[in-house]
Amino acid sequence: MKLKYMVLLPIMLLFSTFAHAGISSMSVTVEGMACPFCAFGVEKRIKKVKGVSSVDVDMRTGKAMITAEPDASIQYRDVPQAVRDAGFTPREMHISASGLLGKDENGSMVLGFENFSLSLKIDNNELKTQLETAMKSARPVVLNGRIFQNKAKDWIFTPETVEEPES
Amino acid sequence: MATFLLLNDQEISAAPITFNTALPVAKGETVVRIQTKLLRSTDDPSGAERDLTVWALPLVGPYGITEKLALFGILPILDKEMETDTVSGKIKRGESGIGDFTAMVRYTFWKKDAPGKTMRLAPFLAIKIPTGEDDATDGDGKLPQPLQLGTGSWDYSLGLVMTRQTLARQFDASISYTLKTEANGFEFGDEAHFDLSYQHRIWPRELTSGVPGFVYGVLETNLIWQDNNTDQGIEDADSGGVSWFLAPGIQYVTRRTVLELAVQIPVAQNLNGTALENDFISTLSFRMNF
Repeated sequence: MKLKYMVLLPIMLLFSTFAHAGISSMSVTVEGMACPFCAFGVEKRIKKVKGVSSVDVDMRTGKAMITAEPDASIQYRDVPQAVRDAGFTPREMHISASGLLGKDENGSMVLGFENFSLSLKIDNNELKTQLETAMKSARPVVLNGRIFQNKAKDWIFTPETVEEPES
Repeated sequence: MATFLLLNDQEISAAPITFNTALPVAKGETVVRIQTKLLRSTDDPSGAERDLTVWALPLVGPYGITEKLALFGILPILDKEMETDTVSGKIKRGESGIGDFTAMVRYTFWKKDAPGKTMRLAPFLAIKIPTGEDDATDGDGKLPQPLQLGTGSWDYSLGLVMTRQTLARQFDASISYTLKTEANGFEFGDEAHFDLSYQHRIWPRELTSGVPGFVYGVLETNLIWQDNNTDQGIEDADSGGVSWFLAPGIQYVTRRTVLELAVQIPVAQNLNGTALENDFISTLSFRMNF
């Protein structure tokens, strides 16, 4: 699901006026984690993922909340392996991502960042209309939603809410 | 037998206090565990009024090679003293220093994770290397082999540990067998252990957000069989037997540390001949996540 260069180039130019693009926060559900001593192992491994500033585990929900370093993007693809390296099982992942909306060669909507993009799967018609409007106006957006790998191992982002980025 | 109860068990990592667990050590990470163990044996059926005190400080360092494979190193610092009644009065014999080093690998071959709970099975293999002094002498000559810091032998253990952990409680079960080999004409009897542990979270009663410290009430049981020792090819009829311990304990577990205390109290001891019986074994342990 790669963005065409024709789409990527204007997005990259627009980033010069856009404070922060990328994945600024993320959560991952960790299955099997049931004691504080184990939670620290999960924190340590996720902290080693590129772009991660801090990790806060919540034992009650079994989630690790991840925050990006300033002006950095979390390497979300490495988070599931970090959880596995700690000895546990990663499940649902949610991200908050800032970027510019565009379309790929198949005409599907993507959220573009400085050097990569995420394919979007939009189930909600109201949200789809909002995103189409934001794309036409070429203004950056912050999308919050679930991210997962499909059977073809492609990463798919299912946004649930859209926000204006903080300036 | 008393000395082996203290030194040859595999008290390595995480939840149970008196034996091993199947919980993971994160890949590339290490945990340091320092224990203080005290064993007292004063119940002497031989009438010689033997009184054995052993202090042990095993230093344990687990390391996660992969998420499934963990390596453990155990190095005990020991202080052994035996007081015995003789015709010329009480005599004390003993030695202090570094004991035998044990290396162990554990592989998690099956696990089932779910939200807030896990179940795992992990076999383990340990080798005890004779690093401790095994020919120490005092004014009365060479110390008896059980009072030496090391056995002089290479010993091999094989076992299986199962762990079931939820946010509220944990259950561990372990079975292991240790094959002892001969050194200096002396061979300690082989050992088999069957251990169970139940840990119940008693505080906080309700989970709050974040990672609160947990206090667990712990109850463990250890069933231990040891074969007779053999000295110069002759079986020692006053060694080996079966012991059953109950060990109440308490654990305080935070993200980075574990502080725990347990006392193993003999419920039944069916020892051979005049083998010295145990009064108790206490374990105070501190673990730190780096």
